[in-house]
Amino acid sequence: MTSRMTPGTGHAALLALPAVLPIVVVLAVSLVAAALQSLGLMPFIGPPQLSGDAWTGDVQTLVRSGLASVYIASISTVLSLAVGFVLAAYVLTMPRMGRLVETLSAATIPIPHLIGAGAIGLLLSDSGFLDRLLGMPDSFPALVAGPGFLAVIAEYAWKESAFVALVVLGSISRSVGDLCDAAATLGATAGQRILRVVLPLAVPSLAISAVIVFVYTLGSYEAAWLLGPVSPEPLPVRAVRLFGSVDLAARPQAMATALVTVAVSAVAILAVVFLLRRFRSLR
Amino acid sequence: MSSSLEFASISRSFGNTEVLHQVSLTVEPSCCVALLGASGSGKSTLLRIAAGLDQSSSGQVLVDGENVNGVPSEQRGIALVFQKPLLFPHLTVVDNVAFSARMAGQSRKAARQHAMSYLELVHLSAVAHRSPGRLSGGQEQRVALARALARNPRILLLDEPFSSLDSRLREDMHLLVEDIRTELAPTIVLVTHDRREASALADSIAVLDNGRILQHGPVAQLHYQPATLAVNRILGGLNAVPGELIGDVHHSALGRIAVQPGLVNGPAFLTVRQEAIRIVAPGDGTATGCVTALKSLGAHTLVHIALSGESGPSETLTVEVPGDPGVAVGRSIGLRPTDGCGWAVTR
Amino acid sequence: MIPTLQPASASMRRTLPGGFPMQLILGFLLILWIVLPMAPVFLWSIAGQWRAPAVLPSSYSLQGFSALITPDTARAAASSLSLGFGVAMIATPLGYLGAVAVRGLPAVPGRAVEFVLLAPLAIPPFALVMGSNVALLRLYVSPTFGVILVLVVTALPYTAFMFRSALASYDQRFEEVARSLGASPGQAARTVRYPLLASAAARAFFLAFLVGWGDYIATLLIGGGQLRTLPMLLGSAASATGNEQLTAALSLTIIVPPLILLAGLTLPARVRGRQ
Repeated sequence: MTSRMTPGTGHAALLALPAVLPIVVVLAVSLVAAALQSLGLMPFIGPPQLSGDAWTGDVQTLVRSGLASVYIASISTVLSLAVGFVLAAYVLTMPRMGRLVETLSAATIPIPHLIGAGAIGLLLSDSGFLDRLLGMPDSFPALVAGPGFLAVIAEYAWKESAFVALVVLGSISRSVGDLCDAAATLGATAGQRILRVVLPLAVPSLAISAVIVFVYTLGSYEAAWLLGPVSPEPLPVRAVRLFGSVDLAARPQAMATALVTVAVSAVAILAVVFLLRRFRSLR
Repeated sequence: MSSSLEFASISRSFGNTEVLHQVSLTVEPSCCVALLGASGSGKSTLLRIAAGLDQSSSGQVLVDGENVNGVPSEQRGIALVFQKPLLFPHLTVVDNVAFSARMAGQSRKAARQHAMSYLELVHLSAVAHRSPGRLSGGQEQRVALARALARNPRILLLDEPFSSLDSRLREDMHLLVEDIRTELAPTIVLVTHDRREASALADSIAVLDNGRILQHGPVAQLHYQPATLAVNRILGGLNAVPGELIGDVHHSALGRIAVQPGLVNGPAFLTVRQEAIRIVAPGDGTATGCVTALKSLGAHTLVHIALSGESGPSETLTVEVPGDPGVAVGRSIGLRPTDGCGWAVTR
Repeated sequence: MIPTLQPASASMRRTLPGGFPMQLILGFLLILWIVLPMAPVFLWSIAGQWRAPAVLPSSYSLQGFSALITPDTARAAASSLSLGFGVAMIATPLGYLGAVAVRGLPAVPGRAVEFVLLAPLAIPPFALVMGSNVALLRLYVSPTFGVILVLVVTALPYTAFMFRSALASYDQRFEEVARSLGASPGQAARTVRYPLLASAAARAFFLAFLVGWGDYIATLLIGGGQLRTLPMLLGSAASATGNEQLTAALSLTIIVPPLILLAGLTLPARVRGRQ
């Protein structure tokens, strides 16, 4: 392994094993086990018995959970991309203030979502920090645990916009300065340089971060659990509640919920891959 | 539609380093001026200031006599072709060329039509719908040139645009620039470190060294009548023979040679170009010397000669001879300048 | 993770629409967006009393932090640290091997390996954990090991990606130059390749550490209460009401070590970049 950077094919395949094997084993075992459990074939106790109850029993709640999760993930993704792009553009264009913004937003990356959720809770709850800053108006909306999952979305948008900004900066900061110079000498105004040069250059990295953010927020538990309303339950919250239920019959339902989440993620990824292909072939 | 460009005592400092010092230069409409200098001489900075991409610390840029300081680059009507092509990777070749028209609010169709004529000018209409990533280096730079021209610039600035191309492609590009000059007659400022490129393309050359303009004049003048030793060296002159100036005649190991009038008597260097001296039989020339080395330049040969001075350390002189020099190391030879009048500089 | 930026070019500086006041306001809003959520956490962590309409605490105390000085918290901190370092120390070299393998393999198998390395990103961690839980129990895998295994799988996409992008810009010819200058293969790797990949390795290690250090859901579901880490303590503190001081102090305790690590990783590079 120390001998050459580009090893021979067989050698390379061997090198891949230590990384590939755990992933394949853990992924395969958990997906297969989840599927078996959801069908009653791998019960916690008692004999296995094939049953589709977990899938068909409470379709309505499952669909409502799915819709709630997709709603949260979509809005969070759109907001993260918008704020993240503005952050990146600001960092690129403003030398001093941009440096400060960049450092601060990079510093939020290591904050776990659990803490982010706690912080947003302290900020947005009824008589929380924001409510107090605004002078406790009667019209302060129920952001935490209220309809619309607004606090959950705020937490995701807050954390993930910094992530989007970093991805965009990492991919375009090298080339964008010179290209903006060229655009300026070709008559592009400031606004045109942002919309016709910086934005299109950022599209590939925005698309990739969109998938990552969407899939992450779809399957993330902490914020939805701490900041969301009791009903409707997003998929991860429902799955974890059923999983921990004393009623062992809830286990198959938890697995079905988890698998629905995996399926929605897969659909989202395929959709973006498809759109990126189309986008590229159009050019 | 081309304009005049004037730099009026432009200075530019980055921190404590002064990159440009009181640079003044005038470029007449439809003329091509080459800014010649080594890397780090500040020539690119001067172009960026003209394009509005950089601010001067003091001084003015005048276009058609009008001060354009503070006018953002997108409103200056000055196009700049950079050393790197800097084609927008998200646009096709034709859309790159159509960029300025789109920025000016034209429809996509009209902008593309306009762009196509410029692609034809640089002989690249065949690759119009390719992505710029699939072009060769020479093609990329042609597209960059077409893109700049499609803006109908009042002034075209070229910042070493051909320096990364191989010599053959560079000559093609020179022909292209000549075509463009005949067809569109833009005012051009070309930055280069290659004196041959400067001589081939420009009407006049301005030599920039350490942020100062040492001399600005027609190509021949810079070669044969350099203002200083530095200009002589930058223009590729290999000879600067020290001597004494007495009454417009230069006395040195090369003999007595009449030089331009108006210089003060005293020590001075005779700058005589290596191409402007002939090797003759000993006794036929104004001076004699001994061949110390021969260096082949291919079709030409450089002959290094130690001059037989009357006293002190002997001076060396270099002569460029076409073909076989017909002399060997150690031979005594005579030397005669081809030009009757010499040129002396004092510093 | 943190890109080192080129200084903004002159035209970039004028690229934001609107004049200077607009740019200042936008910068202020962005900083507010980033900082505001953490403000109540800081204030609560040092608040004594902070009743409803008051914008600022009426008294300050360190009761939140002093409540943390317990053997229980210390044990949880030790568990979190070992989880973080354990995941990082396994996932970083594995990510490196995976990235080198992708580079060495022909196109089709290379892409397959790359796909596998990125696949865990597509599976929500809770689904991964739930599915594998029963299997881990049946195989008598200890909860701690189970958590580490699942978190290593979660962290591998990040570490592999870090090395992938570092190797993409790494020129194989550096090592060839070293070899031509008389270095043995081992020397070339030690003196050329590893130093050039060191910053990528540091970033990969940092991300993998974060996966272990900040994990909640895997520890909750697999650990089954046996593995008590700092996020577990925080989870129970945050879900109850009236614990604001403790929650805030615990939050800061969890954030600070990675931030110090991050500063240690990025500052030297920045300073070197400036010189």
